Amino acid sequence: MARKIVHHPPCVVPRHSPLATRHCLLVFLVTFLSSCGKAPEPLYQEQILALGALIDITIWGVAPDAAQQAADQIAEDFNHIHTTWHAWKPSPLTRLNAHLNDTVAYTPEAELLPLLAQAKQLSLNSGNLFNPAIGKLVAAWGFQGDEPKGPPPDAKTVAALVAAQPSMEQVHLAGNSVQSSNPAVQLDLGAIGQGYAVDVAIAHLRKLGIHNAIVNASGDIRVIGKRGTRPWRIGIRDPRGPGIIASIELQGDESIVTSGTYERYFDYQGKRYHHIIDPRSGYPARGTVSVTVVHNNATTADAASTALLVAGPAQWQRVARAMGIKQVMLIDEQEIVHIDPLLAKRIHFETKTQPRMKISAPL
Amino acid sequence: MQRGVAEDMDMNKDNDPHRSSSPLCKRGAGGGFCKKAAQGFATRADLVILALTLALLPYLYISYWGDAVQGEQARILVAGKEFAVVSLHDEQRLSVPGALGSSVLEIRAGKVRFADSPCHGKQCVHSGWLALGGEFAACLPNRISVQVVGREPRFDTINF
Repeated sequence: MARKIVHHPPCVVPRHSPLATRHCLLVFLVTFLSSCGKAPEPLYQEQILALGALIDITIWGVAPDAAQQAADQIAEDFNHIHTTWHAWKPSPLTRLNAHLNDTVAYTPEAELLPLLAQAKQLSLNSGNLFNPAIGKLVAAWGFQGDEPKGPPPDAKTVAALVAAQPSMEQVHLAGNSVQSSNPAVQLDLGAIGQGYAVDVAIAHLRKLGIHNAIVNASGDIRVIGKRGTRPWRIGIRDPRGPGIIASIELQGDESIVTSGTYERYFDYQGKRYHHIIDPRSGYPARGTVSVTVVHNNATTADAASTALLVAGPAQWQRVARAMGIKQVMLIDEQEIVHIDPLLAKRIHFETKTQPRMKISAPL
Repeated sequence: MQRGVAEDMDMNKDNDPHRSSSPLCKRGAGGGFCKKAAQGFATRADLVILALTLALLPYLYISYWGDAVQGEQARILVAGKEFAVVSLHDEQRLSVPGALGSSVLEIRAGKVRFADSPCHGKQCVHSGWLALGGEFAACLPNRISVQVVGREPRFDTINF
């Protein structure tokens, strides 16, 4: 704890001078009044437990009741998106999955269409490393459930699901209808649902006339504007343990999304199985602990962080370029930080010792 | 400068002008100034200022470094409603009733964590200790969340 004695130099030097006395009083008054006259900052912060996510909403420069109303509406948005896209409880998505292979193309709820189109494009850009068509694999691993706990699926099951090669290329979007030409395809938008919800929330805030805010859904963040005169300050949690590994200032319109193997997993017979399945092997992706992506759009950042985690330390740069991602930090299983020069320039490491770093070529 | 202050403070303690018994400072001497002061150490006005300084010190200390003493706080929400705000320096285990049962929050040495929760995955427990302003963890099945709050958190929000 800092113990400091406050020195007021004018009080010490010229003695006998009434002027000095007045100076001293001034110093005291200024000190005293400045510390009791702080106006409350126009900062509103609210945590909301929506279905499936803890949402942290920060709004700057808006009257508290207007901010609270906005936060309530955003909570409704999150709940709505959660129930719409739920992959294992009856939802518009499970109905679509049930009808994907109908001979006459199925027309799902219209609100599914924009994100399906976006997900398909992102999946193709990522070379299928972000692959929302592998719902059957995700289910086989038990990650379509509230409490995944194993056992892992047997090798034969995994091999068969991979061999069927489900991909978004086989999901045909025509007008309002959706049809798959591969019966192995089942949609699971879990990898981008949160980022999408954050984007929807930010769009909603803007519609309400709020232009300085943060929406953070279980760690996936998009910021708009600033916090008064300064940018928003974001801490990035250390994937290797407790605490913060780095910080970054964001402003204007930027998202930061991290995918990590520590987010969802189960331990079975002494082995850990995490939730990010490599569509090429059918097994949890290996080699990488976490990937952080900074991009303007949270949905894209969310898809990219998943794809780059699957790509791993050897291939992430190629996949990032293919997806138009410019700022990436990947932490591999050896705790080496792989980072591109653009992000390296603006990120500030908060750990006592600088981690081992590999700065890539510009993306 | 520092030495000057120290000397003046000693003056104030030992040579209070109101303590006429002091051999060094007689009331009325030097036209209202303490005799010692008239010799060049401090005027009565200086002493008033010093007295004010000392009187203000506790206030300033609390107002500027009070947070370091009281520490930051943990804000606990149940189903989105505030359940409690507790100091991170009051060591305790707090039982918080949620949708499934009671979650146990442990508070120790400026940190808070989920020590136990009636959910299966125990993701909340795996979140570990939270100490920095803005850090938060939640047990979604039990609808309980906890966030570290301080007057000026270092971060506006945390990415993970």
